[in-house]
Amino acid sequence: MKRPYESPTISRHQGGITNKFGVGVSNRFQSEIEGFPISKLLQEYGTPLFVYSEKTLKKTYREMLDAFSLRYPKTRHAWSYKTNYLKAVCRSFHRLGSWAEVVSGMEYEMARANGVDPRFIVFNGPYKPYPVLKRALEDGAIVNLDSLDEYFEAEEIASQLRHPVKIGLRLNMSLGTHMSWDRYGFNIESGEALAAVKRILAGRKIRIEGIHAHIGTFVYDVQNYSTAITKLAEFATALKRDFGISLKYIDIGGGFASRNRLRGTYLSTADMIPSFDTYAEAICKPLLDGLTSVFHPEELPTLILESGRRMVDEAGMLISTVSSTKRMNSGTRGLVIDAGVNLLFTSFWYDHDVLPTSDHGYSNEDHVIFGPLCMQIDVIRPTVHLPHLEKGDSVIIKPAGAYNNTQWMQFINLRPNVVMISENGKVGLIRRAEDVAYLQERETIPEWLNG
Amino acid sequence: MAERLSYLSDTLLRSYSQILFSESRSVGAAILASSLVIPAHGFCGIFGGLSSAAFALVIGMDRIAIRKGLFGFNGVLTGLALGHFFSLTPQLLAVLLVGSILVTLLTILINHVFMVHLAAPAMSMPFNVATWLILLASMDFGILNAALPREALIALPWEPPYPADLFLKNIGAILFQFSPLSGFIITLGLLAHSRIALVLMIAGFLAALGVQEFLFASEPQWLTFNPMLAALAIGGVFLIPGPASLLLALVAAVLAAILVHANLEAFPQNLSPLALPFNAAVILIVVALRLRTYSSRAVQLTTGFGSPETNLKNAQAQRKSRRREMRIGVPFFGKWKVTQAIDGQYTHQGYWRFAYDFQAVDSSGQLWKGPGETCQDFLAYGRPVLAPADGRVALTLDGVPDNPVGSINTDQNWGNYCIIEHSPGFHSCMAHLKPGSLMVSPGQPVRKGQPVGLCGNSGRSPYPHIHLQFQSSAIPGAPSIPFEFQNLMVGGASTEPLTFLSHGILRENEIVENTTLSFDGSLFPCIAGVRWAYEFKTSRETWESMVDPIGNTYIESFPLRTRLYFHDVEGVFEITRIEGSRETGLFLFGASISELPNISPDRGHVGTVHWLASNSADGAVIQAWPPWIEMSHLLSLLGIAFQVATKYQMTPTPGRRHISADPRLCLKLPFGKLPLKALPKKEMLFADGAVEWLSIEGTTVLRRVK
Ligand SMILES: Cc1ncc(COP(=O)(O)O)c(C=O)c1O
Repeated sequence: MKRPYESPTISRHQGGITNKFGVGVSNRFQSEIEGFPISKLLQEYGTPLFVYSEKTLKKTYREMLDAFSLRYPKTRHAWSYKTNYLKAVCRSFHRLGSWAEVVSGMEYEMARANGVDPRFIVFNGPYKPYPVLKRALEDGAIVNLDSLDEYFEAEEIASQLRHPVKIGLRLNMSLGTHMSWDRYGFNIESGEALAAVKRILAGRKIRIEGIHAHIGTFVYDVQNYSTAITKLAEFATALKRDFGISLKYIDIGGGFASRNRLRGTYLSTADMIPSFDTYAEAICKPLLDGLTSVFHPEELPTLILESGRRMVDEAGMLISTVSSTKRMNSGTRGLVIDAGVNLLFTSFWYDHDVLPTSDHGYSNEDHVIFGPLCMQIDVIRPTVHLPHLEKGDSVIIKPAGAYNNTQWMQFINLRPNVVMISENGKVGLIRRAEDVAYLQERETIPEWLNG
Repeated sequence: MAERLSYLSDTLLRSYSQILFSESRSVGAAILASSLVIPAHGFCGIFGGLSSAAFALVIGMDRIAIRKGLFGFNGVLTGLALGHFFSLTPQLLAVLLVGSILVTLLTILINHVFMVHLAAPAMSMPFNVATWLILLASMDFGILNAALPREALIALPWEPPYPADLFLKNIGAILFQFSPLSGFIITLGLLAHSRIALVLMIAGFLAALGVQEFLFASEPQWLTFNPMLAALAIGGVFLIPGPASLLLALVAAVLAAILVHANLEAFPQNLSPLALPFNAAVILIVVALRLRTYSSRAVQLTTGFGSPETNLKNAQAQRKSRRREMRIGVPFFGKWKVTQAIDGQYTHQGYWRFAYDFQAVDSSGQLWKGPGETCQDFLAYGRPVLAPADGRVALTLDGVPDNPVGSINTDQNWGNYCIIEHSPGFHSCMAHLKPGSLMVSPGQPVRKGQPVGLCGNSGRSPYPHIHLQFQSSAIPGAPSIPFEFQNLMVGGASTEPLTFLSHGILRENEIVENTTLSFDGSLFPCIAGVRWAYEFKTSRETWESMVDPIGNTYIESFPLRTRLYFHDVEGVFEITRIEGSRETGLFLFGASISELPNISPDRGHVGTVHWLASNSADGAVIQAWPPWIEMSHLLSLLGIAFQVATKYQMTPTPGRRHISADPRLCLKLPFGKLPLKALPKKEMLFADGAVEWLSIEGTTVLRRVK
């Protein structure tokens, strides 16, 4: 086979800060997704393009469930809508058995529209306006209260409803080294959580069915989960022993790190990111040990996981095309591609893997990748090793499944097509590219500007 | 008033029907009528029955039990006995009143002692004791006159041939009336009520006759009713009718016949053994059966007796409730592969044939991750090992080190283990545990599903796995005994259709999932008082879930009443019994389904699930069943029965479960099953915790209205 032509370049010798791992020599590239040529996808759906792999999504889900179900009898996954609320993605998870986890009235309605039984919608978050809270409680959703103010509203709602109202409590706790998210829920160590329980019991109108904690996101030190779940199990044990409350669920939230690299770390992802087995062992062992003294096996609370980014990140990819190249003053080569922080919000904290979609040979050099926006901050990778790409070449950026399709924006540019490749190799358009009419659909012009 | 009258008549009639283990008013009426062949004698029975029931009522015994005749029947018998030995005078009535009080007190005491200490029925023991006591005391009473012989009064218009005459006389003898006429009336009542009962009585009679012909010279007069009742009690009342029960019934009859002769020798001249031989024979057998380890043959009924036919119908339900007494689960969480089953080629042989080895497996069928060279690579290693059923820890061993992968330790074959006693003579043993992982100690009670240790690689174990066997003693390495698992999901990798196994054994390479603990909630949130509205064919119907005073859960339909009794354990909804109208949608639903695993994606289960269920074929299963089929129950004594075998398939999607049922009528023979014909296919949909609709051959006949 004829090797592709590589034009000669002169690159500055970099003798300064050397990377102790050295610069790997490789011609990494990815030309297909699940056997589907990327060039064909671009031809058909245009650029840039988000692509989801159902196969990867299912595989990830099964790995998660395998790991937990060997260690704890009742584990349920609640799909965290904020991570990705594209209908097709949500429904894929619900098909697999995921419940829904929502943090707003908007997400709640999305879950309902996706056909999720309200009894399997976990409603979290610090902001549940009265009508929204009322609807969720009426429906019998799993509502985790964040504050006493929320409780008072729930109590008022309970007095209007005929069926018993059940709630859970969001808890926070000190985890030693890890910075815990302490602005949500009731604190355990200070006694705030126990006081809330007593207040709720005194109110008599509302049953406590569960407890919930979400200790943060991208938590890769699993010891934090052990500490948190130990405290939750102690709390559950105390509720049962002292108040006769037999909790139905313990929700440990999300936060599992995905196989992405946090900006500024050197370690490669595979070394640093715990496996599902590691997370499961860290969570299930202390949980089971902590509960067995007072809970009979058949009444063990359901363990709810709200893992978001880990479940979907790898299933999603962004394909983008080089629109121009330039040499920076520093000598570094620059690429301007058609997807920027408007589409890849997560590039603010991740160093995504960026690969060419065809073989460009072994000769790599440092690049900076810019997005298409007219903003200095629109940088996808400040520094990345790539071969010599030209205008019109495309790259695949991954993992990109988590938080991008919810946090993307129509800033300067419209949002592109999103497709999903099914397990059996079919491609389905799951979100059509926007046009200006769609963007302006809601706009009106006041009469004084008319004419 | 009407309520009181019906209470009174129920109490009276059932005080008679209970003599033949029946609660049927018509059987009671027949016996009552036959006792009135000699009115004065019959009156003593009524007086005894009513006064003992009244005394029980006055001192506050359970009104339902009284209404079932459970107090009255010993009174009736005592009355008839005393009325037989003495002629009816005011003095006799006075003595009889005392006797009735005595027999009620004895009923309370003896029933209590028998139930608590023997778990066996006392039957007519109170009557025996009360009658003996009164008879003994009466030897000092000058006021009672011995009755005159009265057989002459009560002949049949025609003389039945031998041995039918003897049979009829002995049936009459149950009421102390040695007349073919009363025997004939009772036989007619019995024929109408239960053919199986009649056949059993005849079998018992013939067995007793055989014993007499071959072993004894002297005739035992009228006491042959003892073997007859023994055969009825064992063959149709306390056991589910069938070939094994029939054999045991004959054993009971022979035993009772021999006891009659033994007692006749032992008892003083003027005392009779009464029903003691029958009671003793039945109690001996019932207690022995209750204490046995394997109970797959001659299965005992544990609750309420109907006619043997009804008992047969409830056999399915009874099998389920027997299962409920000890539901054996797998000793792990999640999905594991059976790497060696019963009679496995490696080590499950000889004494240790009834054993299983399990290794944890992931969705892609892998047993290990990475190179598989260390224990840690194996998914099973370090996972919790669970008690397979409730029990008490009998023996544990810890401290045996784990082997490196591929090597075994034959010095300490079982490695670290935990042996649990579940019932006398029934122990489980989980072996090859990880050293230092035991979480329980001998003497400690454990619950099904409770972790006892972690899976390791100690003892004769080349790869981390769990060895599970049941054995009759707590000694490690004791011979294994057979057992069945309950409520499992069996299948391959997660994408393949799974099979729900309500009970059974496992085979090598099957992948088994422990679902008993992961199921939560039930298909019907049957908190008493939940209601559903339906349109069935053209009429409206309401269903309501209820709990009766004993704690049985059922759904009842209105206005036409059908009752569907069910269990809801370990996330499996099982219909145990259907009563009442057959014209309702509830009946149709109950007849379409027998057990329903509560599987859905919301509960962590995806994909289609299959299962098979067989039910006895009677009106409860197939509507428009020819009436003669009731007669076919007689065949069940020989192990032949009509059955409906149904293939179920459930496809769950979030919040909805679609079920199709493909029933087939079969003839069950002792050596196999003969398919007869396909029955109409049914489909139903569950959503929102209720039946949404049900269709037969594609036509929707039941629809929920909201
Ligand atoms: C309550 C709650 N649950 C779950 C998640 C999902 O977290 P992650 O994507 O880190 O798994 C979040 C994210 O913020 C959250 O706030």
